[in-house]
Amino acid sequence: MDPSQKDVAFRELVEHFQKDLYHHIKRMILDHQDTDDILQDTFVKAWVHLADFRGDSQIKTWLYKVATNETLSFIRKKRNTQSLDTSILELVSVSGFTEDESEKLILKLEQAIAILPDRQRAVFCMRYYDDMPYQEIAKITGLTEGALKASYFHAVKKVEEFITAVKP
Amino acid sequence: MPDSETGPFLLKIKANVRTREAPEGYFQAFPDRLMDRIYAESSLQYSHQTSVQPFPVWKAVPVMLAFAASICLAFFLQFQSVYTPLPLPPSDSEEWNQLADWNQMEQFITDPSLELSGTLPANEVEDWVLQEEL
Repeated sequence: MDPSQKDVAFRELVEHFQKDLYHHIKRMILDHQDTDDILQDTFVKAWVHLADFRGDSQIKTWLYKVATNETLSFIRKKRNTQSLDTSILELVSVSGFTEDESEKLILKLEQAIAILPDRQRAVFCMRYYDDMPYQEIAKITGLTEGALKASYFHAVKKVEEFITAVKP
Repeated sequence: MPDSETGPFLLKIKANVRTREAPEGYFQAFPDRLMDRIYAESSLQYSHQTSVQPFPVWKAVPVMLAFAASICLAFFLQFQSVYTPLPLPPSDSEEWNQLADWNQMEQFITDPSLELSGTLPANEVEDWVLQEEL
């Protein structure tokens, strides 16, 4: 492919998927700056390996896979240096939301997601927020549909327990 | 997504979840920032590739040959000095035996009054000794 054509095509790809991927990453990370870094890394990897993309899966699934792996890798790295869950909880508590009931629930939901194990967090976000089919999540995470259903079931239980436990 | 899977409680929350938007203008600027980074990293990679070119082997050939030759020369000189036979002592050489008249020498040692053939006459020796003493 001509380099200028590649640039134009890639820019279109970025413009088309940037919002979905941004929200996908941010639901797991919450911090905008970290999300921006991971989103950039995701697209840089996509740029480098674009020639290797064989079209076995949809480009959206492929990008979600790269973004999910980048996010989980970021969470693991950050956990080694500091308590990510604590930092996310602090971030949620100072994010300046209004005090109405629904906002409180959203804050608690984010807190509950933050304390989920890494993979459960990714599965929960893809299923709960994006309504992604298990078949697609399986392609992204490399897990079987059965394992994903079990993972989502446990995640839902934990989130509900967390929210009801701290319900005012 | 089936309701039984998530439960009514979380579904109710989900209905109230509004998308947390990125800062204003973020998505408009993002593609440009991303492409700038990609171009910067590509040019860095390119400059790295061009600046660290491998040294051409053919340029090293004369140096390697000269080095090998000097090593060979050093070995040759070393072995030559070790294996060159030393000259025979003078007493064993034929030339020395011809020059010396050993019989006359023995007589001279036993009887010092005799003069060796071919030596200075006694009076000349005395003159020479006197001159040396003066």
